Amino acid sequence: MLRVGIIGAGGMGKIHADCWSKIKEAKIQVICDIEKDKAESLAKIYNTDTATSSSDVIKRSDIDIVDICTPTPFHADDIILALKSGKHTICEKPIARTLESAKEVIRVAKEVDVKFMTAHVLRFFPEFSTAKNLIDSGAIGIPRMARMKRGGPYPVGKWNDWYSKVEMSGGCLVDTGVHDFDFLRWIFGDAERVYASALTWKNILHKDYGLATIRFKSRAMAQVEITWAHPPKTPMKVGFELIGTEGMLTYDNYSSTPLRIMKEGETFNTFSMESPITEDPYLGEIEHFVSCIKENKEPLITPEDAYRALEIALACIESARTNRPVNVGGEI
Amino acid sequence: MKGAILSFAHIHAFSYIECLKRIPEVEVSAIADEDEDRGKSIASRFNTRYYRDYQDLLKSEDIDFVVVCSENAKHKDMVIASAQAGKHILCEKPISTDIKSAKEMIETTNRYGVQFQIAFPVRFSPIVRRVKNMIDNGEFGKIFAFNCTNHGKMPGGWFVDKSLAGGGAIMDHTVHVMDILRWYLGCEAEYVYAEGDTLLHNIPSDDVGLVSVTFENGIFATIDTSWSRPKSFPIWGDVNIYMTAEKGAVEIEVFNQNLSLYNDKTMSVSWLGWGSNMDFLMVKSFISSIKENKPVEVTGYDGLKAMEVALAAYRSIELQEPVKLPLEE
Ligand SMILES: NC(=O)c1ccc[n+]([C@@H]2O[C@H](COP(=O)([O-])OP(=O)(O)OC[C@H]3O[C@@H](n4cnc5c(N)ncnc54)[C@H](O)[C@@H]3O)[C@@H](O)[C@H]2O)c1
Repeated sequence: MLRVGIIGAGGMGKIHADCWSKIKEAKIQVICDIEKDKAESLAKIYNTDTATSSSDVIKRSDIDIVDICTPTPFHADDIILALKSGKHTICEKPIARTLESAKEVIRVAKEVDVKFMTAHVLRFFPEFSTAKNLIDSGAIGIPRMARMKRGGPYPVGKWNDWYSKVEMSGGCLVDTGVHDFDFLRWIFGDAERVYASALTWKNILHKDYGLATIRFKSRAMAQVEITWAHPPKTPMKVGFELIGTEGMLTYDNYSSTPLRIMKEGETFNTFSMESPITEDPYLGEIEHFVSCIKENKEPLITPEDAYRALEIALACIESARTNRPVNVGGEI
Repeated sequence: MKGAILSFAHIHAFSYIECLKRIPEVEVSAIADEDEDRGKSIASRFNTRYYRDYQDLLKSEDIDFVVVCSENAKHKDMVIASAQAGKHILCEKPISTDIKSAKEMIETTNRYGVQFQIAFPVRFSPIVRRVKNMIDNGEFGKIFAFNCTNHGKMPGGWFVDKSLAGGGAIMDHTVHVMDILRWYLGCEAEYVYAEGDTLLHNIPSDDVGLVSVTFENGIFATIDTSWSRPKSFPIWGDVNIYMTAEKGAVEIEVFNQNLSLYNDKTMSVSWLGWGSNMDFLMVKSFISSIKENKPVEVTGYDGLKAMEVALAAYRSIELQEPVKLPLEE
């Protein structure tokens, strides 16, 4: 039995806890949150211990896996501590808030004999993994260009409103863009330089938006739109166009909706669009990590992958701040 | 009112002549085309006089206006000669291929007192106009940014010959969207950064472009100008403008009023438009500007400022850094 300690019982902590509860060979041992009541209410559902300090969880000897779901700036220290304590570690993206701390994570990960993965869940979303497989099988010829879009309303109601603090979240291009940057690297390989414009530094309360152009070493190029500026409660929007020398693959979650539900309500009517699938990407991601531990395999997302995605993301906000293109791909 | 088409090098000439024919008080009585086979067959199809040399056509007293649809690099000479001959002019976009000649065209048309309109039909789209009205009414609050595309299929021919087109995909597809953004914002671009390359086709010009624009008021935009629609794509391309603002977001897909045709005879799918004919609305506006002697809705200056961004994009690609506008000649 693999015993799990979850750190951070917010939005992602809840999703991860639900996934762990569905894995037969794993058991959630302890749930930790700096806010006691959050840890307790989640612990009640899964019948686990609670903690309010991450180091208390990491140090426990009855834990095999640490799952870090705290705000971004707290990732690196806990990853390093967990790895050094001999725990397999999975951590929400991005790997860290700064490149220096991400480098330190990579250095430590190399020294220890446990598994480590950053949770770049996009690789487990079927619309994205199917696209990757199709491209690998030559469906569009040589991939040369991409357009990506992702976003929705501003993430409000979070711990300490941490998303609105650029020094914590990095803003939308870092927090949300990092998903697409990892995916683009998966398709095109390493990036060379980026140019971006964004609201990130303009101090507009609860609005952020960014447009990034990425040039890859292969000469391929991509345009990425990330928004946290849609009206509250509107559905998340995700789409891509992947263009090659012999064709194009496109996806748009607003049109790829096999289920549309119109319901009469007491006070107002509702309309929703859904796309149900049996494979939960978050569960797939955790199952993958478990299989890496059990079969002693290298996880699909390496520490270097996570570093490179963060590097592109940070280059974007640097470019947006300076109105200059920013080179990436330096030595780790 | 009598008009003439100067050159059918640009395929839009066919649409413009059809649109002009729908206006009762207008007659297209002559065409000029260097390509004698093409010119003669078009002249007989539309029942007009044919001239090989447009200079000869311009001597015709009965012609009130001309529509210039030659290769981009030839716009300048045709427009200047037409102005000198006292003809009103509707000129295909981009206005020309360099700042100096665009300025000369504007000056000459002013000097000879003729109307000079640039063919930006998207300005006349009811979809685009609806959003213009909403912006002007302040319905979105402060505008933040635009994410735009003007995609197409690779056109081939003179479009990929820099000496005739002045560039490739970036020259071809920056200007429509730029014109709309300038119109929406009432403000000029200040910085342009671009990435461009030949990535998809074996051609001498650029076929992909990502043009980033920062306006004087800080609003930013990107325009994807790429000829990236595959040969099998069901329609020629798109003009999409996604706007993000304080009070919401708008997605404009100008060419998304289509029927899907699944055709077994050609084993292909195509999207066939049923929306308003923007070319017709544009041509009608040009004719009424002449008739009522009122300013054209899209001026030579609009053409110049839109083209300037495309030129700045090429400059930026060379320098690998943002370029500040206005450009020097
Ligand atoms: N993969 C995805 O799809 C996805 C989606 C959203 C967020 N995320 C990532 O997940 C992470 C968490 O984001 P979230 O949306 O769940 O945020 P959240 O605010 O909902 O949750 C964070 C939780 O951590 C707790 N916390 C804060 N500091 C702590 C500390 N030092 N020790 C222990 N607990 C602490 C807070 O009380 C809160 O309950 C972020 O890194 C974010 O980038 C990933």
